[in-house]
Amino acid sequence: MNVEQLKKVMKYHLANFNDEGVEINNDTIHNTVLSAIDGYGNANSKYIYRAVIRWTLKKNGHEDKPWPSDWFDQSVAYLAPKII
Amino acid sequence: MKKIRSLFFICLLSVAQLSVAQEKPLQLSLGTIKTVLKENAIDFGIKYLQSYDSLFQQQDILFAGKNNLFQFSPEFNVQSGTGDAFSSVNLKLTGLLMFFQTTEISEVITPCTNCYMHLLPVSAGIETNNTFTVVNGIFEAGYVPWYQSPMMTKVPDWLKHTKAGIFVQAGYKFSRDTSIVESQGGQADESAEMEDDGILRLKGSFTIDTKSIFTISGVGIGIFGSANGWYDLLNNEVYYRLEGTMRFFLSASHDKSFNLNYQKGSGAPNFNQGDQFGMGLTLTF
Repeated sequence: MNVEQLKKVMKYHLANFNDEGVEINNDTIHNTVLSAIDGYGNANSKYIYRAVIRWTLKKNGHEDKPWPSDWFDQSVAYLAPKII
Repeated sequence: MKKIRSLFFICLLSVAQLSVAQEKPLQLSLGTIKTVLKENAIDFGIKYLQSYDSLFQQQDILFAGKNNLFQFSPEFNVQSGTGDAFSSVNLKLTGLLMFFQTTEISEVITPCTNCYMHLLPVSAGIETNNTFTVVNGIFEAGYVPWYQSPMMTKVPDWLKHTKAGIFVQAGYKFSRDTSIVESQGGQADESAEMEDDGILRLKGSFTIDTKSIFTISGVGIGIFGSANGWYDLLNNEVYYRLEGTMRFFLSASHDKSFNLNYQKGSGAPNFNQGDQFGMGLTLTF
């Protein structure tokens, strides 16, 4: 998996949490789509999104790197190269 | 008692400080309410949920199975206030076990998030109130179905704004010296659970969150409602907590809102069945 493929995976998952019709592209900021308070405890969109991206990286042979602490306020294009 | 309370609030402030430069895990609410005793009071709430790695600057634990994964994080929720305002404090370590189908996106195997998923949250922690007159140690396991993806064509749109979950709660109610604390109105412990005894409950939760339904002069308006019911298996009692909120969103990212709120029942650990209503601001950091 390369960075471009990872961006496509990230956009696929963001689209599946996008309950307010935000435009999903490389510039989409995570906090405009995801939320930490839209579920029961950690069964929320922000937590699930992060978990499925980490699962994808591990299952496709990549290191499970720590995410930058500001990822939630950043875009798809910013985050993808930081975690692959 | 004062020492315990001071220690608790020092911990609270420390964690809040940690969160400021990180990923908006903290939500604060402040408002005025009319309490069960029909007195005016200040009400505040804190919700905090942080991933383990952001808190301790190292990668948290992720078990990645073939069609499942598991992660955990610390969490606390506080509702309190002056006078006889409802008070409920929950501190716990929560984990999430997920089961899912997989799909291929751009030739990459990934969980199918527009398919039904099965979420099993588990947690262990304490339930208490703002005077610490009730302290319960609780283990909780639940089932929360995922059906909210906007890409799911078989699920009606209105249903995607809802969430439902069922939980089993087991634990122990510790004995406390409450002789110097007088609890009345919304502060009163109306639970049938006995001190120095076990706790076993079934809990059902249902919420609806419309987000912003329409906008007036740039202010999005939405409705949030939640219903929680508990069945106390050891004492054959039923408790409930109903909440309805009209939200006026003050920012596009919905991290600031003005709320009108009605609540019937305090929830755990007091299970007070009074009601209170009020208005206030909610900010997410």
